[in-house]
Amino acid sequence: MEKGKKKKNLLKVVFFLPFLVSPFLLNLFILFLIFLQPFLSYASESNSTPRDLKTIVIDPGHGGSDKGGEGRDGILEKDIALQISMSLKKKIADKMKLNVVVTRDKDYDVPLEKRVTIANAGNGDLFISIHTGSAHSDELSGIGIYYLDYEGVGNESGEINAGDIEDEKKDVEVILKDMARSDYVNEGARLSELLQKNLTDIIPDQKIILKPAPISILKDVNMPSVLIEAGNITNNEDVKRLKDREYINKIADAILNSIKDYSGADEKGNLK
Amino acid sequence: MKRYIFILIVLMVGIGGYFYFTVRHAEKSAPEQILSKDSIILYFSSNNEEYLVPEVRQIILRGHIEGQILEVIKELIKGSTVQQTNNGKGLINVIPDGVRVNGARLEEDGTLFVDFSKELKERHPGGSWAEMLTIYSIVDTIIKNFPDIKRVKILIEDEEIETLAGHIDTRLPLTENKDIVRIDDERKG
Repeated sequence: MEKGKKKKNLLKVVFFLPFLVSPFLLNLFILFLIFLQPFLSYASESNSTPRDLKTIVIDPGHGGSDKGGEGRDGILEKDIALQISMSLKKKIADKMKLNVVVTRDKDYDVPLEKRVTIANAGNGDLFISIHTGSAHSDELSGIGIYYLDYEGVGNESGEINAGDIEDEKKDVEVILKDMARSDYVNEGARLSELLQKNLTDIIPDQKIILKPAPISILKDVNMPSVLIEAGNITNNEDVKRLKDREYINKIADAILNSIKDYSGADEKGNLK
Repeated sequence: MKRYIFILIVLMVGIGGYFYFTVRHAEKSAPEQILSKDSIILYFSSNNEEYLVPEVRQIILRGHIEGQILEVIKELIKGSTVQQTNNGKGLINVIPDGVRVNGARLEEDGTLFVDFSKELKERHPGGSWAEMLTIYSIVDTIIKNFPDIKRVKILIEDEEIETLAGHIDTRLPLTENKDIVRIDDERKG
């Protein structure tokens, strides 16, 4: 046992010795890992197997005193978000063998940081935030799908200051965390594309936009994530759709099919 | 002969002195020079709300840089002044009505803190893309006109905000977003 431990320690010393001798070398190594990580993610993507899914986190946007967007006739974003989320939750329970965590199941306030805690504590594998959209003009109609990209992940908060090194282990942890976040970004983008495809299939007459955006909650959850805005509450045509139960269920079906595609599940919802 | 030379010298000094003092007096009493106008670039939304479009405007910028920044932001708040485009629709101002800019503070590292009134949050329609247009209308306008500014932190009533209307992260300062801008639609006002 002691010999094994001594061998490990020796290996650690051999590995870290050059960096201890030369902080410059350590800086170079860290920068190398930072620049290399996007390519590692892309390289693994081409041969990747679908992520193992056990738990889906559904996040109905807003709630309680936070009404979200409001349509002219009083329709509220928080209510539509909850309807779609509950429909989706039921469909997943009926058709797939997955755990579902929801950040709220009724009309009450849930601050953003609490939603993040719920998602992360629930060990979610996917995070889907459900909203309606809103625009500056009432003519804009359509479904919005938003995901993180590297600009959103970076944005000053993801930068590692290689010159501020005190503890090599801590820096390696930071690097590994950053690499995991890159993986989430790639997977989130992939899920977004599947959503676009499935929403187009089920609701072909609705305009769908797919855009990267630095959305706060997507940045904070430790899993691939997307945000869907199921129509603009400021547009009359979209509001008519959002008031239709069948449309709500269609949105939920499209999300369900996207989860199935993402996971590689068969038609019966059985995961591989 | 000496007398004539003496008279000539006196005349020359006298005439020279006359012109010298009258010109100096004219300079002092002349109206203040009109300062030349500066071209500034303001970003407004395209009428389909898909991207930001630059609009050029002429205003006079003077004084300390923070004062100039406030003037530029006030022009942005006024909205687009360009005539309607060919398809009959103008650019959209994505800063809600009634918003005021309270102040701006530039840090040594090139970060600008800019403080808006609560209407920027309370009157915002919400929606992720609508927030993107508003936020980058402000950020890109500032950075485009003042290249020494590297990033912009938006405050509301001097307080930090997590998001503008529940979606876009504003916890940290924001850098310029060129992807949201379409340049070939530039307008001149």
